[in-house]
Amino acid sequence: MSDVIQLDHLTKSYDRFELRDISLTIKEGFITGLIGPNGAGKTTLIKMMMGMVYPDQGSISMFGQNNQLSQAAAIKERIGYVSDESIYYEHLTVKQMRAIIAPFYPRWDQDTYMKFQELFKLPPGKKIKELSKGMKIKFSLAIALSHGADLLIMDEPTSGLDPVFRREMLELLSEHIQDEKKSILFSTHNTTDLDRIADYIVFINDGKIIFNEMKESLGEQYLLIKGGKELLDRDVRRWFVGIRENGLGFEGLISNRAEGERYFKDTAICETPTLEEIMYYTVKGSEAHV
Amino acid sequence: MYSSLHLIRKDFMLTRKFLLLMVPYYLLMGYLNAEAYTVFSLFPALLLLINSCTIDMQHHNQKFLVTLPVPRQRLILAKYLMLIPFSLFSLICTLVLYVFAFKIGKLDAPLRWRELGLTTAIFPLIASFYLPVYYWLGQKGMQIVNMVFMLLVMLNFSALTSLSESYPDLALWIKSGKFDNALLVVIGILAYLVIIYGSYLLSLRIFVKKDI
Amino acid sequence: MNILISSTSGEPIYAQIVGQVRQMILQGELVSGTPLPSIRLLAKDLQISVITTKRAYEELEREGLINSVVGKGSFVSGADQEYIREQRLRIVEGKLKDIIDESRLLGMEYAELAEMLKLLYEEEQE
Repeated sequence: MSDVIQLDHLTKSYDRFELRDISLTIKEGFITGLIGPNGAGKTTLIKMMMGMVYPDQGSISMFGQNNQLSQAAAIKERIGYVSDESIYYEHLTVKQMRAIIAPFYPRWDQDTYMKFQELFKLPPGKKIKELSKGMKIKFSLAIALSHGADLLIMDEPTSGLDPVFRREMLELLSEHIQDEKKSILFSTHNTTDLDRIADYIVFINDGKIIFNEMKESLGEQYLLIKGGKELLDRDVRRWFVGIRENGLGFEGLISNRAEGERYFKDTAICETPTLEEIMYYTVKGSEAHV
Repeated sequence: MYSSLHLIRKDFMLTRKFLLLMVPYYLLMGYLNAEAYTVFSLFPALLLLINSCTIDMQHHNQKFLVTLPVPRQRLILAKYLMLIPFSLFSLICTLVLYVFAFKIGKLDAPLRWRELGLTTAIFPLIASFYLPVYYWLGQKGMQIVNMVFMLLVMLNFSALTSLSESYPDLALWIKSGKFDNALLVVIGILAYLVIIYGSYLLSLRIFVKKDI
Repeated sequence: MNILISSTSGEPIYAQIVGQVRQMILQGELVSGTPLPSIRLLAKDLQISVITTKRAYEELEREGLINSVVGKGSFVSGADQEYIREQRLRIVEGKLKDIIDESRLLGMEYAELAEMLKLLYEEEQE
């Protein structure tokens, strides 16, 4: 199994924020979800992959090629980029914008584009600025899927989409990876998108990678415990990644499932946490430790 | 290399509406101010340049350019190559204007083509100052820069006349096509090319590693 | 072939797939040689992760219920009747164990349970 993206010791400093020593691989042929709270560094990471932002240190390879200036064009030809920001010329119509983009891609497939234009009900004569946010995302998705991209990089693509189209889009994504050579990287703070279809989850918080795991195995690692507060003493508390307490008891996340189950099986409720719960308690825990 | 052509085509598509708007304005100005027609060959080119640069910078459009399968150097090269069609377009506009003014009898002198050529050649020179500043300042400072450059163009009307006044050789050449000092010509042309090329290198340096 | 996934049942999704495919094979609904949908297609149709379906197929393969041929996909294996019968017996055994556990919780004696089983068995036969 080869890696489609490889990040090696990336660092990037801003005034108030820093990505520290990020090393990460994204597998070919799968859907990888990039999760983390707002401001965790998801967009910066994606911008570095897209060559919009340069790391202070470290290197990036895509498709096994070093992402250097000389190869940037060949690499980008194989990337479909979808963002929740509209990056297109607002005063042009959908049709004009397509006409500008298409010639840059040797593998542009007009039939596929027309198919998506119809499927998404994109109005060719309408100006980009008149499109709703959802429509703009549909348009960039249509573009990305029509130029034969091997890798889709999507930055918060589902924000601003209605639930119906969100579902449809997730289906399109699994359609896309029917070909084992195609991959998707998908950032979101809405983890329910990924609970179903994602194969790998990269969790980033405060500029650091918390984990990069198969989603399938997360459920075997983490355990959510719900119980009465009398169960918590100083030592027990330390086992928890993050904990939430109120008058009625506590809820907490443990990262060693086997141990947690052994200890709490008879005294508390043990559940498999959702991605959202893993994210919530990890962020909460890291804030508490600061 | 095709990608440069696609980028130039893109700039024309972006400024298409602007072009249509400019033609009547231009003809009207020319009609009212026909005697000074040669200076007009600077105008459309500069307006087009500023317009296409502004559009490229607006919203998140620079991100779009960077997502295209084109190296960043090419984006800059295309903008500099763009100066040629913009100049030609300006020149053609001015010729149309001249013919128009000639036909309706506002002008009866033969075409002052040397003066026209000189004005046209000034445009890439101005652009050589404009573009590095454009890449340097990005979206934030562009409005001010655009204002300053428009002002410069206005001043240029008089600058051109004073230029030919302070260099009698130049005035003579414009009038008669004779130029005594061959060395000066060579130096002038070389300096012209060096400035443009230097500006291109400077823009590359500024933009190639810039975060967007 | 129907596979229905519940995301609220608490049972891991891969195990649900394994359970349902196993049942269809053991009940003879899927006969030897029947092609199964590809891992990626099944993942798409169920809208779940590719890795999950892959894991389910690997599990079925380990149980000897399906065979995977590289480049061709997965097929219901030609396991002999004896083997399948054994598997099905094991299912019956498992269920009986559940019943025993449940009856113990109620404090039932063996004789009581056996009597109940006998009654129900005869009732079904009529």
